[in-house]
Amino acid sequence: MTQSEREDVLSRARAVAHEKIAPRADKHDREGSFPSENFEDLHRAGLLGLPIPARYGGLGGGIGGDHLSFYPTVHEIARACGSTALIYGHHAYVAGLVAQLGSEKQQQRYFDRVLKDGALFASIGSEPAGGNPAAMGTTARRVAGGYVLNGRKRFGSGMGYATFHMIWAQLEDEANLEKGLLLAFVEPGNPQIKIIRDWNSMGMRATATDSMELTDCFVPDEDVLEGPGAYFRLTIPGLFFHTEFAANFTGVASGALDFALKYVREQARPWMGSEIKRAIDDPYLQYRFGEMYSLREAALSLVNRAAAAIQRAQDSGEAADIEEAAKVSWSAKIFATEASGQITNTVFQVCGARSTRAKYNLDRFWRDARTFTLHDPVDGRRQALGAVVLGAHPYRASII
Amino acid sequence: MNYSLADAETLEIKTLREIAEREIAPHALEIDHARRFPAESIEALRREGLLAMGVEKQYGGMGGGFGGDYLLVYRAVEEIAKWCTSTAQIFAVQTATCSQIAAMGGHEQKERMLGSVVKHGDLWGSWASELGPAAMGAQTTARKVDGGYLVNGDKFFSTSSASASRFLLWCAEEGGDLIHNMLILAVDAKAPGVEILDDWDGMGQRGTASGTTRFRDVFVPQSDVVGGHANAFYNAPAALGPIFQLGFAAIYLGTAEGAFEQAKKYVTSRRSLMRAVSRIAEDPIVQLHIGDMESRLAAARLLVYDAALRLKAVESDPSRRVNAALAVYKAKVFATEVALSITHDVFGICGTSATLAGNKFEMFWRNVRTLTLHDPVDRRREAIGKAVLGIADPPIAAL
Repeated sequence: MTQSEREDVLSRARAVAHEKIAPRADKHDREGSFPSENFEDLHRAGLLGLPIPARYGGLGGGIGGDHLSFYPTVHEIARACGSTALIYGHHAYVAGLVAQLGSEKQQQRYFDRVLKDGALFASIGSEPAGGNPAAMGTTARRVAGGYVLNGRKRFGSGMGYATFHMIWAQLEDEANLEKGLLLAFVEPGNPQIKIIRDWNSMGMRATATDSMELTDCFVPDEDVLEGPGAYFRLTIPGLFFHTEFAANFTGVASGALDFALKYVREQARPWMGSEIKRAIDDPYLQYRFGEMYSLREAALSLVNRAAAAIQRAQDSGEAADIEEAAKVSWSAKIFATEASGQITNTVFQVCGARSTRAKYNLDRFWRDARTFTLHDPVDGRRQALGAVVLGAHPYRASII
Repeated sequence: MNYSLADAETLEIKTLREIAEREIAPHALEIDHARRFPAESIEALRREGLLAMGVEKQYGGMGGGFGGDYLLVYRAVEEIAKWCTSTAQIFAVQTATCSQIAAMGGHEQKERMLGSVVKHGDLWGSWASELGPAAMGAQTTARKVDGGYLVNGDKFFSTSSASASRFLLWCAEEGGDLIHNMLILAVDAKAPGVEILDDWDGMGQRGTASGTTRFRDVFVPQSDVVGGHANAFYNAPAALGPIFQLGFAAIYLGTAEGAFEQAKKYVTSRRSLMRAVSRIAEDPIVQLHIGDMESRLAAARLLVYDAALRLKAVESDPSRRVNAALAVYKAKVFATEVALSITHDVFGICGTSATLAGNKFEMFWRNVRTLTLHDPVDRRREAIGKAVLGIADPPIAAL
């Protein structure tokens, strides 16, 4: 992708985010409803095809393609609506896995549906606590012509609203995740799956992050990616995943910062007893805005640096480049977690007690950032990064 | 023998904890969800005589706050906040108001107003802040008329507005301002011309009914001008602003402790979704965070308790007012940071499940974020900074 093509993608994303997605965000947050119309608009703008390879008619961004165009796009969408960006990021992640692991026929079939009908991908991996974190509790039994899936999934975003739900399952009688992990697609309406609407969280409320039960669910080979363990051949998706999250966190922080800038310029009042006539001349408000702005810029810079490092690792395939890309993308995620937590919190301090009123819904950014940053424990990422930096062991790919 | 302030636990606090666990904690989530006044919590406090905790003993109260034991009141506020932050705010306003009347009021006013708190369990609310151009603006004014004042204006953030029977109304004498001509008036909730809108829709402290009150030609007799004249507030033998401020710090502290207790229970009883440990508590990184939170809470507790003792010292030595105010501001700055970070960080150790409806974590977090905006904490930092640098005595905050 050329630089001007990247700029074109970004300006399209900015337009859809600003004009279409942002005005709907508070409504979907309050109702906890899935923003289907946002994905129609992203489809119309050609952005559902961003993570699809050019040879199938997509724009060729993301896994296997151009990383530099992808994360800024997520940032712009998250700036308008964190929930929409979450679903979009998952869609791109799965599209990337299809591009890497899918047969020619599968790619034709799935990507056609995305580009023609605006079909969405979802990744259904998480399971209720209590299982073995080293393996999937959802099982896949080999039968003639396919697999039979059984298990319960939890925290599956886009549940029932996506077209292709990629189920993470473990081959029966194979204890080792790296040998037994199977990625298989099911579509809503399959009578062997049951969707349970149990997502009632304080944040990312518009993501339909619900549960699914699979009962003797047959998946034909044509809907399975390659075979058991194939995922672990890949190095880029794990790096993509963390960086895409970092871009989302940073985007949510940018959305909060946009609000605060507008509010303080237009509505804030100087503090009592102060000689200052305009809030924007208050040294403490200026200080806090400097603090927030620099945090956001640093987070975004790390995201872009991670994008460049992943691009290099993807191009060279060298172990040293992959390790470097892991270190930078993990750093981006760790830093964006802190920065988004701090910015979405500090905006209240600069806007004051009135900004907690329901009509502003300023807490949407704060709740979304806090909720999504819990997806996988950032402390685990810190520890993993520390271990690699210390040389306790070389970088190794994991499922997240 | 107590080796530290933090070891002191009185019988009153033990009793209060039992009441809080039994009669305040069970509806905290529901009150938050329904945005309703915690009537049953306040009733339980009234029944036990605890609404008179801030009344001097000579007027029949429990002797907390002005003229008595400051530490008792702040510990009580902290204890209630562990269970229900909304109830704690209502209680903090009640006790600080009693101190304010005791420090400013004449003997007749104290007998009448504080006596009625003891006898009838009157709940007092506060009509102070406004939505106008200045935070503690003088938009609400009192015009001198025969036998008293006529008040006009609008107030917002009127804590307890849906349920209190009596209020202290902060306003300026017509033509004056809140620095030089502040009047504190005791007004009945049902006085003609008072209109309570009950429109509080903030994201936190949802049970405090902190909405709009309108005053249209409300007559207040001279006998209800607390202290009898303008500026009795600033001349009182107590740091009244800091007395309010420390109540807020105690709420932040208690709320953080509530979230921390909840998190301890959570990590010791739950399995980890992502880490190869049987209980979350066995994760060494979780242990690090718990140790860190416990240390910061211990420090915040000591700052709050220390400031309470310094506030008490102002009564016998008014020259200690600045010293006390600075101690309160430091406690408030630190408690703000500790409460914001702990209520935020508990999610990190508990995980996504802790964000689901039915958990108290979100309630604590929203309450702390909302209540810590009471006044800009950076202004408290500024005041401390100026004093430390010898540039100016800190302005003593009115509220």
